[in-house]
Amino acid sequence: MKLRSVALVLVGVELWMGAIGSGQSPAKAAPAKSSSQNPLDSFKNFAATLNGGMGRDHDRKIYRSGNLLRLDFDRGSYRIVDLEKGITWGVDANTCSQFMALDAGSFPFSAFRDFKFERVPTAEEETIDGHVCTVETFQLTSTDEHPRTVKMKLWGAKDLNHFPIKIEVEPQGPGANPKAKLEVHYSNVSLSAPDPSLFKHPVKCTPGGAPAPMGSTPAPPSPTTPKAPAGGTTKPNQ
Amino acid sequence: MKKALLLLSIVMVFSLAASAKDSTYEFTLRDTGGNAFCNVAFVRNYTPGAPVPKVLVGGWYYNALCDGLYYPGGGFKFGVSSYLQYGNGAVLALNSPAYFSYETVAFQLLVNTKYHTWTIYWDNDYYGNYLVNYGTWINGSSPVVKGAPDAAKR
Repeated sequence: MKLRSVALVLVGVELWMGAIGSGQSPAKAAPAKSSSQNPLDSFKNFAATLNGGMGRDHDRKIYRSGNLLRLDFDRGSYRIVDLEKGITWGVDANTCSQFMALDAGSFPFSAFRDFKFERVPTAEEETIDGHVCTVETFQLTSTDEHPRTVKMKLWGAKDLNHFPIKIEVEPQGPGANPKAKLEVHYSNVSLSAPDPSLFKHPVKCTPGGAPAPMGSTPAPPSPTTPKAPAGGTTKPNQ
Repeated sequence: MKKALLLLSIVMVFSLAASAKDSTYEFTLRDTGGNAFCNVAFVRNYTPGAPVPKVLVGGWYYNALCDGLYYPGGGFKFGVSSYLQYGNGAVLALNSPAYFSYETVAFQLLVNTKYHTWTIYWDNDYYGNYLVNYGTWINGSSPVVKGAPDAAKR
């Protein structure tokens, strides 16, 4: 009985060692030259003016300090995004709301966190808004069971430590709509660390932080209500 | 005792009938401070009949980018975490192609009838869903305030 137990242990150890060995081999064979980290992770501190992107923002001030991004909105309101935790705090004169969702203006800094980045070498240079830029292309692949690929092109300004003042993001693959290509532009870029006080939000910042409930049933539609169209898009009856 | 049971049965029957009746809502969108946007949503919340509860949503979204057009919308009523909406509890979720021709985005409007709030998400990276804006609403279809911006225009 004892001998049998010892034999089982030995077989188990051998299998474990084998597993370690087989785990090491692919790592040795993996092509390291083209894989790289998310290039946007290199820019932990900056302030800029954002145009375009997922939120189609227009002349919006954006700041980054570490994992926090801040976006300024009208009437003194602002949003802070935790890129690591995927949280947005929306602050305005009336409320502070916490969302477990990424604000659209944080794209693409907040996106593709779990994607594999492969750099496609290029020697292109282009001048954008007076900045001489190197052009880099990355092929992004999601690491889930249904891999999606995205092409990301960055125009890194040489005089701004290669900060990407223009980014193009284009979903790839069969059926991907070419119109879904996004352009993001950053201007007035400063690579100095922004004032830390910009990234504070009120202590009381609750999920769904809306005003108190106002009753469960709205009044019926007003008599001036335009009638719903029969189908498709039509001009209003006004 | 029999009378009480009869009364209770009548009340239950009427309650069921009332809950099965369609609800129609019309919302003019405002920001969190009550400032006007140019958008209006009409939502019909209904059931196709027993045993399906009243969770279906149909309707339209008006004035994407203040373009003066109506766009169809559809979806469901369901509970959404307060971490994902401006408000708490059930929302009427209206999915619409309203902005697709302009921005190639999938667009969702979550309307909370209890808190009089709304939240807009959209996506066009084929992967995520992004918070675009949120605010409050007033009943009915108010005339468009001149110069009022679009609720999804940031």
